[in-house]
Amino acid sequence: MLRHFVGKNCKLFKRHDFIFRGIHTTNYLAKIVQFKLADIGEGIAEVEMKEWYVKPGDKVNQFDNICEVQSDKAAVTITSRYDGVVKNLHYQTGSLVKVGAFLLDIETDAVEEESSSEVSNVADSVEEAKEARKNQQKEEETVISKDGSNESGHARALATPAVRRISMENKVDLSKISGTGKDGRVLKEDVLRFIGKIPQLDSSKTSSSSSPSQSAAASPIHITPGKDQTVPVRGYTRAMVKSMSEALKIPHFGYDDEIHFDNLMKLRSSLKHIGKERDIKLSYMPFIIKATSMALSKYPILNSSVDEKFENMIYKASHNICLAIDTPGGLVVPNIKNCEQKTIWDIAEDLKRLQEAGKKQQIRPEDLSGGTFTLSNIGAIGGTYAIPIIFPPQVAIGAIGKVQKLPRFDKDDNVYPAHIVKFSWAADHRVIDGATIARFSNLLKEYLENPAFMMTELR
Amino acid sequence: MKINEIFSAVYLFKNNSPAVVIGRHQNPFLEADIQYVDENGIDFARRHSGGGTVYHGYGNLNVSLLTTQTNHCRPRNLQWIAGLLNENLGINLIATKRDDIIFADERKVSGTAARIARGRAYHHLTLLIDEDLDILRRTLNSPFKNRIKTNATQSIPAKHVGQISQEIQGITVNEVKELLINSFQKQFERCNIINVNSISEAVFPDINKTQKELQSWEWRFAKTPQFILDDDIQVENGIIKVSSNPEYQLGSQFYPISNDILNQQQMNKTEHLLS
Repeated sequence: MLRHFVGKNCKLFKRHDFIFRGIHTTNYLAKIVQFKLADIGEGIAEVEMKEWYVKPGDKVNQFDNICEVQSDKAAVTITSRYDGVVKNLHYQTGSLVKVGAFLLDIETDAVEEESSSEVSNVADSVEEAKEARKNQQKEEETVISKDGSNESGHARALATPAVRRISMENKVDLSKISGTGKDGRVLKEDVLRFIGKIPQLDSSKTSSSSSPSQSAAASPIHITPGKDQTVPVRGYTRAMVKSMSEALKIPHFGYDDEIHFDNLMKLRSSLKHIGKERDIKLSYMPFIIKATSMALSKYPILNSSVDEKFENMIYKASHNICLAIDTPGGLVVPNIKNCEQKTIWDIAEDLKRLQEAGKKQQIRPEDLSGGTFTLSNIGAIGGTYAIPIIFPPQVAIGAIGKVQKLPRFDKDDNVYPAHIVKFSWAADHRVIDGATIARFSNLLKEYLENPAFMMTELR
Repeated sequence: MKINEIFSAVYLFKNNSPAVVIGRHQNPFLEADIQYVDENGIDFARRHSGGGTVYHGYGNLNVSLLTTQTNHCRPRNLQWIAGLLNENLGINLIATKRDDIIFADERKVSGTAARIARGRAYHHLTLLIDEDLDILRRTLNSPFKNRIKTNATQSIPAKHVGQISQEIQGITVNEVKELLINSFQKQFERCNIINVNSISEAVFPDINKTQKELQSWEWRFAKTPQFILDDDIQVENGIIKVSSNPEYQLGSQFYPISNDILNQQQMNKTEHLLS
């Protein structure tokens, strides 16, 4: 019904007077959007169309490659701002395209507001908008894709124009809402939940506590081409700047090893039914964390702290193991306290709690402090190797790659498929020597490759 | 190559065996004498960045500056490099508006290309120091010049090619490399210098896949924008689609034929010029 109304007489970018008759949580309104060639910078006014990656009828997702253009000597890839279906291409390869011209039409699900003409299709661009123009009515949006380096700050919330409309009509400030969509995007459901029209996810969500971990703004910023935007470094990012600067003063040395996960995989699947009963999803991390804690008991120096002046080394009794968690506000490293006293199920529960809190950016200050050793599960995002950086005043850190199926030789020289996970360790070379890390890693490897052995060493 | 969030830029310096490298959207047959290249053990590659064709061997230094898109500025990079070499070597290099580096008498010593995608960018350039310029000229002299119609990017050949050893006798690639690296280092608060001796999958994940792609016929030849040779032979995606010339068979991969009469005539002309 609504679709019909729009489809008939739709002039692009015209403000429509909608009355929402009821709240639906499904997508609505397909709209043809003309995709503009945004400013590439460098004072370029015109480019040559070199290659199309899409044709009419193709389905595209945001950040997919759309085309290649060339300006002078620079080959530039243009990526999509929208999810949708390609309708028609406005230029042939070989033709000249002026900056600001429409490259192609895409039929999307999002409704465009008036004069939202300039859109940047250079996703991930870190060009910044000037503070002054932020207040202008003209809506120019750029989307940053998640590259692991989100910035927090007083900035526009990431949301489609449709969502923006709903929030405006309900007099809600988008920047106050935590987005649950991709990249921390604020979805329609988030707005509705915020204003109480649909049930809360859980009761503790409504008012945010005033702890420092909340001071990071929930949503990533919008950056418009050609305009600088000054964003104060706050919250998680500020903490990361400080700690990373400190961290790089430590002489790191690395040690890598690969661990066969086949036995652990079998073990885990045999425990799945118990996990179901307890409503705990058993990933590999709880096993790894517990095994790490056990290995730390044998090599307590790895669980120690140095003070800045190097006057003392404190061997910590608690194994408070930190885990890197990716949240909408950035990288957060909370820890699970006293892993040496907890069962694997306890650890799994804590992990679940921290991950959920992280998503809502409600990790408490006590979760963030007191860590003694760090495990970074970068494998969850991808990649097989990492060079982890130690969080002072800790003295060691491990990075865990993703599980890969690789050919290996067994004792009879036959090739078999093994599930391998690469672990990369880094330690403070002022206090830890290579032999210690090597032995620690070997012990952890033994525990994880042979869970029966791990069991016999449990206290 | 990934830029670590902590670092603002990654600069690469390299030097390799003789190769002719065309820009992303170029036609190899138009830009170089592919047969000469193949017969003389010269490598041929198509790069991801735009721009024109270069020949470089051991007498050349390749410099690559990888940054975020905001920090990408070719004129600044070139002025810096030219200024640095002038100051230290007492020569007079000029960074032009076309992003070339030339001597005052227009001898070109450096060409530039760039790539911008997903908020990151790189600017790379050649720097001729001590190269065999005769081979360079021979390689970049295509028998198909003026015979191919295409939308592919066409190189604008320099009127004159020059190199640093013409001004500074005995200068080596290593010396210039050290000069640049020392100066770069001073620009940053923190700078790691790493010698990459081998490119292995272990250190650079997925490099094998990238290398395979770059070495494939599809990327190097088939990627050539469609073209028409001698108003007769039409080639699309590397395959001959139309041809009345029996030397160029329909449906086969396009490759220059050595006993092509027109080709031969062109060759004679060129050899005469070079002698």
